[in-house]
Amino acid sequence: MALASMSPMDRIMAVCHHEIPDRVPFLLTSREFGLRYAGVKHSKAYEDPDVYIGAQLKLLKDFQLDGVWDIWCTPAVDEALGATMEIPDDDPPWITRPCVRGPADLETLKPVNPWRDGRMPYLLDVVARLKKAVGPDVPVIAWASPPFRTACMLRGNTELYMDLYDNPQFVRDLLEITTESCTAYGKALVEAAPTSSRPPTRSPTWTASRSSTSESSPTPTASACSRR
Amino acid sequence: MTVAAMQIIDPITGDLLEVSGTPEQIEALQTLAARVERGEHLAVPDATQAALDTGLPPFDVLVNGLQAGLAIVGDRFKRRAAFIPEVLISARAMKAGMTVLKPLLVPTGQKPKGIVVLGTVMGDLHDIGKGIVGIMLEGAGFEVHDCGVNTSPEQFVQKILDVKADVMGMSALLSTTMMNHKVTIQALTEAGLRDKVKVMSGGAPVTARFAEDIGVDGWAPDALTAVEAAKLLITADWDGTFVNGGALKRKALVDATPEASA
Repeated sequence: MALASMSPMDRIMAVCHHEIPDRVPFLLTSREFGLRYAGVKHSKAYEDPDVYIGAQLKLLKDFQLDGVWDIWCTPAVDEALGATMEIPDDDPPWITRPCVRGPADLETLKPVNPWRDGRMPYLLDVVARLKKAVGPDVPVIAWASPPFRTACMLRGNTELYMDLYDNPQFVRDLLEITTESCTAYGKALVEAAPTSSRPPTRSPTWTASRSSTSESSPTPTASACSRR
Repeated sequence: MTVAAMQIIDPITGDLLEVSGTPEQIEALQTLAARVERGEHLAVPDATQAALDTGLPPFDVLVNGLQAGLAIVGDRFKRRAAFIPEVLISARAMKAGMTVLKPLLVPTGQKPKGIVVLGTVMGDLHDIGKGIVGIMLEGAGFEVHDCGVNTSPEQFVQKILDVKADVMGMSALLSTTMMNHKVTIQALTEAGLRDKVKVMSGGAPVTARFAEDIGVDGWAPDALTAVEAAKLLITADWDGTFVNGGALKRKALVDATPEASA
């Protein structure tokens, strides 16, 4: 491998593929910190994409990071599936109330469409705009909720753990729905910002997006993300 | 009178202790402990009553039946032969037995050992460990009020005032939220409550050193030692020294082996 300086994208992807980068990547987990560093409240980031994007760009510049992060909203899948999510004034969103009281509730629970349901289209739009803003040489690192975590949010942690013993088939049925939904959101995150042909990382819940060679792709808007 | 015996696991040291009684009593306790261990919460109330029907005092049924069953799971958990779901279903089973014992423990003159307010601190949503601590404290005779998750300092203060708590227990599972333990203590001080309530901290990132540095009164690495630490904090003998639950465990082990302490 050449010792010439790598771009942040190449550096991060080298690590993801168990290759040796030119130096240790510098990657702060910077969603919440970024907003506070920029002096803005969390709640504003969920109303105006530019608030969040501006915060990430400021961190990128001031700290010379090797990547930026998607807007934190792992609970967005949970919310779209029916759980109650709260966005505090200055804290990340969280699930305040599960929605699956028992097997009967599975009848009305359907896998979600990330391009249409809940606030996922907004989040995908933020990711797309962020990717356009940082360009092809900086990875955007995004999170998709693991299916078991979403099942816990829908059912309640303690309740689901006990369901493993009391009614394992119910847990399997719930996990089928959450797996399909979480996978769909993960794929949508990759699709929201055009990707390269590099093979996927080992962690199914961590996707890094990379620009295509085309520079003429318009920035997706919220309406463009609302696919039917 | 024919005497029989059984062994139970000491929840602190993990040593085996012998309990004796009539054959009927021992069989009833063994059945009860087994049902708790297996998480058979629907069968535990009847098994608890059956143990009482042999003439055992309620407190003995609690310690040698319900707690003994949970101690088996706790021991397996420590050895990584059981995991959180197993602990939860056993704790649920123990709680089911408590519904039979609680009304009996009070009339026998056993007031709650103390009143405890528990909560996961602001910004943190993890509660499984706290829930187990709450069940164990109830099993040990404390009255427990659980504020739930994401508990603000103001909510802690208000609950302490509402229930006249003796002990407050804070939990955090994230290194990003553990500083809210300190914020909560400050709120207690500003409310004039700091010297009226004993404060304990716990949770995965919370070390004894951190807990002592931020000025809490006690810390414990697990639910069982949390109970022992809480018991120590509310005694008249407590001299104000920081209570390290991990050291309680080590002390119990040392006390149990005189050769080691010589």
